[in-house]
Amino acid sequence: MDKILIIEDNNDMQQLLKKVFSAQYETVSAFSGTEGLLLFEQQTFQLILLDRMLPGKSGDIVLQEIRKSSEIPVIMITALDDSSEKAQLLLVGADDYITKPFDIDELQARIVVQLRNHSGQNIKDILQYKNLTLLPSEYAISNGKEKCMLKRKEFDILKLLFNNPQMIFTKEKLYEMVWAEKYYGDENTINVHISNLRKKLAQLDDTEQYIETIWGIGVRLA
Amino acid sequence: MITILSIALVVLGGIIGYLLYVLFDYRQITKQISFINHERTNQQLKCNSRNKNVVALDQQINQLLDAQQKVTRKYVKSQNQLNLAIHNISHDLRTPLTVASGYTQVLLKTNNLDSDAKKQLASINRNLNALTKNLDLLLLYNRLIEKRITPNLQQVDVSKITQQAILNIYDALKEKGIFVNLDIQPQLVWSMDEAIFQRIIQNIFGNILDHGSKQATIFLRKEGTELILLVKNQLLQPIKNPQNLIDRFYTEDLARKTKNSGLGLYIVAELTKLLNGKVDIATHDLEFEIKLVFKIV
Repeated sequence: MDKILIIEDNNDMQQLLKKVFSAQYETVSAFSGTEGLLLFEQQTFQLILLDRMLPGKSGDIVLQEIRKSSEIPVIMITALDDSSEKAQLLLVGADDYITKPFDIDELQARIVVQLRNHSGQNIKDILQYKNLTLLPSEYAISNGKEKCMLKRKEFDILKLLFNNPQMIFTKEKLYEMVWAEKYYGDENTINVHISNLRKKLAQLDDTEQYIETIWGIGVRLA
Repeated sequence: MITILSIALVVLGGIIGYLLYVLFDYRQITKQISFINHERTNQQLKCNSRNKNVVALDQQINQLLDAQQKVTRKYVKSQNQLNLAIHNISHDLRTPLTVASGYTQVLLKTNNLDSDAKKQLASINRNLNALTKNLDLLLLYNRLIEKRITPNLQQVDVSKITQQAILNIYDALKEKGIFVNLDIQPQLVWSMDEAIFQRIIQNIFGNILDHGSKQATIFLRKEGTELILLVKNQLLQPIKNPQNLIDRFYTEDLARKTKNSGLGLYIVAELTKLLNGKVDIATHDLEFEIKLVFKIV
């Protein structure tokens, strides 16, 4: 179980975060920056949730001290509403930030992303959705009985969608993530891949929709 | 006769000498004041004159400068205190909001609630969200009137930002049965402040969600030297005084059923001005139209 250090001076906030995350993670509370840094030195954590406004040592200072010795993912919790100041947070070394008040699902998703980005080989891809399963070793997709070979890019598109079930990808973003190069409006390439992918998915399972097109500019898992 | 004439000449010479002397002092003073004015320094006049009148003038001017500098210092100090106070209040409001909203979200996810309790919780949640939104608007409004927002212009892909912003509320629009017609020219790059532009379109798209019905159109295009964003939507009820919508705190929702602060469009208009743009609003029965025109900077 991944271990998360929560540095937050407000007791109610601590209780809330503990309640939300204790089912999936081991959580440890620190009520000040100094206590947080002490715990950070004594124990091993996979992620830190750090409130920006702490009494005594501020969140920014705590982050600076953490960064002297560690690249551990840090998500800052801030009360700021000025996005230029938010951008500064990322510059001083936070991996991500969330503004109070936040959506719990969103914070949860961000924690998952950070843990995934930092866990090296242990990336666990989600391979199953509805009735179909991705077979990474063969670049194929299966319904349990039959399987269908996918092209490399088709496989990558589907894997990206499986791993981000709620997210809407613009065609541009999808292209940049899957092809890993800049998009110059080559909509056709994306459309052809999506359309072929749809045909293959329908061959294996025609009872369910898998890819939803949104206003002609984006796609997501249906 | 000659004696009188020579006395007169001496007197005249004396007067002219005195005048030149005063003129010299006068020039010195002007030079120093101009420096202080121009450089906005806290310096005082340095008087090298032996003329009593000039010294007295110097002293008076220095008193004035001193008083003015004190007022400025006091203003800057109180301004900083106010900013700090707003910063702290923002934090002090947001933390309890987070806790209240967090537990509401946790409770809404549990399955053992009866339908009444679920409805009540959903109402708490809605109201907390409205509170958050209005707090954000109020803080942004404060930064605007304090002139604390300086655009950071960069080459920005405005098409991408517009697409992403509308996609972010896709599910909410679908839930409300609002069909959106998109006509966004792809890959438009414009000199913009990304965060401010984002804020503007979030407000406008948020309005479609709050006040719109059935259909909306979003049109983004470059025409000549102008970038045009045109958003049209159907309304739930007609608007009586469309031009007032840009006034701060103006809202037609007098019963405040939608918890509308009346700040949204005012902020859109002010932020657009900051980006060298202009806002026009038009309504016709149940049709609402907002047009933003940005000029090349």
